[in-house]
Amino acid sequence: MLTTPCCNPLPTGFSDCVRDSVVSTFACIIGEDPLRESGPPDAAFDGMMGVISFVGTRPWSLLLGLPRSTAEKFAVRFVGFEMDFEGADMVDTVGELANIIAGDVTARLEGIDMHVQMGMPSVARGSHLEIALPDSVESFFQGFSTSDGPFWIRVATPRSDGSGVRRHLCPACGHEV
Amino acid sequence: MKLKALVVDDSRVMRNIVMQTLRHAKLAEFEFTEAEDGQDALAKLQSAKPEIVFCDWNMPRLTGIEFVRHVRSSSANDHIPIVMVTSEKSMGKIMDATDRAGADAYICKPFTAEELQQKLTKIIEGLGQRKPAGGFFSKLLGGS
Repeated sequence: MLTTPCCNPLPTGFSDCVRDSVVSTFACIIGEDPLRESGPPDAAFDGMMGVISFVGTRPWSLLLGLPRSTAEKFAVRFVGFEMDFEGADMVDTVGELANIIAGDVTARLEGIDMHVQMGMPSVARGSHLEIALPDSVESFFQGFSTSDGPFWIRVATPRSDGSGVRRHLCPACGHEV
Repeated sequence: MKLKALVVDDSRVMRNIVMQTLRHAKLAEFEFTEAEDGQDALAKLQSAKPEIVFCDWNMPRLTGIEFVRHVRSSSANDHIPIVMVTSEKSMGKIMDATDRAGADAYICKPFTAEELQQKLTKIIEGLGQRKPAGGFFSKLLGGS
């Protein structure tokens, strides 16, 4: 579980705020609640990744991973028409999705007295995308499923003790520990 | 007669969504001009002479809130209604935009045509009252 002490060193309530924001944002855009998946962490994939960083009480980054097929279907739901996966509009769309989640989570975090400001989103597109975080960063992963396909988020934040000790993935939940 | 609207967002997709949803809301017939950031919007304010502005918050060069402050400090344009359309949802940001900077309305992304109707009807009606009698707005509002 994500609440076990060894796996969740972020402030209490933080991960729930992020997950709730993802669910409520996509529920609004695609018309259904994404289901949380307890599967293993993200492997390398073909698709799009939106990244947005936050500064404030504690700096952190949100990564939104959309496999190609999911990204194409979400884009239609969000914008109302099909778009070229390789085009600039797809980059714009994924950036905007990350941006909307970020705005929602920023407001929710105020409720747990965590005040942050969001930056500008950036987007990666490609084949065999994988996330390589430095040892000084800890993170958690959450997969989701929808009728339009799966997607995931990863939240990365500097280790609170500032250590750069190499960690491993918890086999139970996918957190780096 | 159309209502001249300036839509400011660094995302082309988002500008299209704003324009499309405004059309669906049927609050007025719009003639849109687009701007990519606050700096671009200041230039288009002079050239396009919009009657209402829809403006994002987080943009490069000049942010939405800086744009609002700029417009409100200029006597030539301080009457133009500005609607913030943004993913920033925190109360502090909303108050910054509306109470302190002087935005007229605040719409959070994602939004629906119904939400636009709810938040913009009064503003659009107010614009109609500024227009000469017999024009588009007096017809829209049921005048002769």
